[in-house]
Amino acid sequence: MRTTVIILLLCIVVTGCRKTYEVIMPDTSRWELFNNASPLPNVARQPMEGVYAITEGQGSFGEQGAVKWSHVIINGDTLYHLSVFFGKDIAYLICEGKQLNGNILLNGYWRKMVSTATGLVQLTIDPTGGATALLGGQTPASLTIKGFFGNGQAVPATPLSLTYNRKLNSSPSFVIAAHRSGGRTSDLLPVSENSVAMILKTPEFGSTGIEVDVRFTSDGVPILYHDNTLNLREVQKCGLVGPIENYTYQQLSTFVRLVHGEKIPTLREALDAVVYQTELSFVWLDTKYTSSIAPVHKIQQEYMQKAAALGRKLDIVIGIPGEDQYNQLLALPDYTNVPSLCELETEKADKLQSKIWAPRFTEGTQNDAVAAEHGKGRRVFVWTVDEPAFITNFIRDGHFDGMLSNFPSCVAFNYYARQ
Amino acid sequence: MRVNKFFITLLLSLLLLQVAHAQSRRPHRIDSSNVPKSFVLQLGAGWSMYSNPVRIKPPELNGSVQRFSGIGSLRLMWYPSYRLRMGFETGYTHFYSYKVKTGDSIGSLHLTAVPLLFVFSMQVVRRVNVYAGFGAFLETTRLRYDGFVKSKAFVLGTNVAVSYTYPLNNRLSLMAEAEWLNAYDTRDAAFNLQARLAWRFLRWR
Repeated sequence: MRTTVIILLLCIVVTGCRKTYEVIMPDTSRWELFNNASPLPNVARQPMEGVYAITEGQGSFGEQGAVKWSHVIINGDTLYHLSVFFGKDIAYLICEGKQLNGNILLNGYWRKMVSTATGLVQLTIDPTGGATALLGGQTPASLTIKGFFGNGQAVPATPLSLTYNRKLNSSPSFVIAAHRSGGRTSDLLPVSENSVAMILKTPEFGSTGIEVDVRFTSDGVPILYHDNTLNLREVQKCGLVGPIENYTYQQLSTFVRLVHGEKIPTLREALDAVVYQTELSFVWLDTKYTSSIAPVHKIQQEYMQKAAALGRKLDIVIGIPGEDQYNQLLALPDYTNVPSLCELETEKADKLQSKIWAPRFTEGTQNDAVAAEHGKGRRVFVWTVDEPAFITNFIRDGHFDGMLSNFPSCVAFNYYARQ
Repeated sequence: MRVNKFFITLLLSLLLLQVAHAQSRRPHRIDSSNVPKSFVLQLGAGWSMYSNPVRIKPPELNGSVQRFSGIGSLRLMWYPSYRLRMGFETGYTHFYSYKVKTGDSIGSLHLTAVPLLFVFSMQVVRRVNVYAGFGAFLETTRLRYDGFVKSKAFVLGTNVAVSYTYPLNNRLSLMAEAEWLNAYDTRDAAFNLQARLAWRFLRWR
């Protein structure tokens, strides 16, 4: 009996250890050929966009991929990334592009969001494969991207080949909105959720808009943070526990770092990044507080004006997820002029004159209700759709104007590859 | 996962062996009405060492971590007529603290915890008891920097302990105990060494 008890205790101690999952980002700096290549001219990018048939590598990535360029501005430099969104395992690849001796080189990594699988990708468009026309700013008659991918840090050796098939589906009003400023920390992304770094990363995942979670510090500074409390899912171990609202911004800024080392951003810092560093066209300010909406409305107005001054089309809406927030918005004297997104019944969206009605995905496509809202001039976004089969069905069968997801790359594939 | 499956299989095998072994013995009848039952109150004090890594983040904060401190605890145990005893444990543990300096600003942070644990115990060798418990820790941050903040959170956790008991008389015993406290969600853990006074304040048959 004693032996059993001792072994039982040992088993509890040993098996009680949690398995930790991690994705180690592949080191993309080791392709010497790419390191010695020249920047890609801007004219070469747009004609590359399209839906491609995968002729080699189908077993890993499916039958087709949607190729799309995105860019952000970092320290005054414009950084371009080519993304390929696949229909299998929520896979995507993200590359930088350069040119060398008439070839276009694409260097980057792939990732599958259903697992921790990732690896390097090294692709080429040779002169006969379309590079000559692309570098000349023309659309080639045929376009083939060929190369290799590998697992982890291994040198790519498995063939991957994509052949241009058709243009991307492009109804410009559909918003691919990424949850928590671009994606969840728990999905093992290289940057933290609700951070400026994620806002700058999410265009690579296909996002055209973001949802961010707004809370207030004890001294009234609106910040981005999702959970009620400081916890290790979101921040590094620092000794601070309890509700984030207990701390001043200075305290959080000094002692707390998000999981990947970023500071918790203020709402202003986040919107600065959106307006001045990205081409994102939509921001959903999810209201995680129950106090007055007025301070956030003031910032909303300020940044919509800043975007307008730059000639940017940017919608910033205040999310109304519950009765408390609904009543707080009604308390504003000019509440009908506050751009809002109402998650409640359509009658309440009518009362607020919300720009957007946002039903939960569990309600289904609701095409009749969506049509009725369209009739009132209101857009309809569905949230938060993460299951690939639902994303496919909602885009194929629904009439939504936008979709919120933790997997914007999956939404991007289904939307851009739609015929 | 493979490790877990291995240990679960090993555990089940040992339990089956134990059952088989027990059934092979001749029945040994015990009259539980004659076995004394009691409530025992244990008061402990000692020394605690925070056993998990602490890195002051961000690195630009200059400071040093204090991870040793005193500890006090209280445990109420029910000793029934069978081997498995159960009870409740609480106390006060100072996990760690650090002082920081950034520019002209100085500050300090203290993280403490009050364990609130259901505890099971069993004597494995004469005078040696093992304890295992589960429950929560009420953790408290006291931060002095840009003002003062006291903030609390409940965190799930466990403890494991082993003690040696030296009886002084029928009611009082002295105990020496090594204990490991583990708060899961915050990855806080401490190793404690305590001296305990156990008082059998209620006894009946």
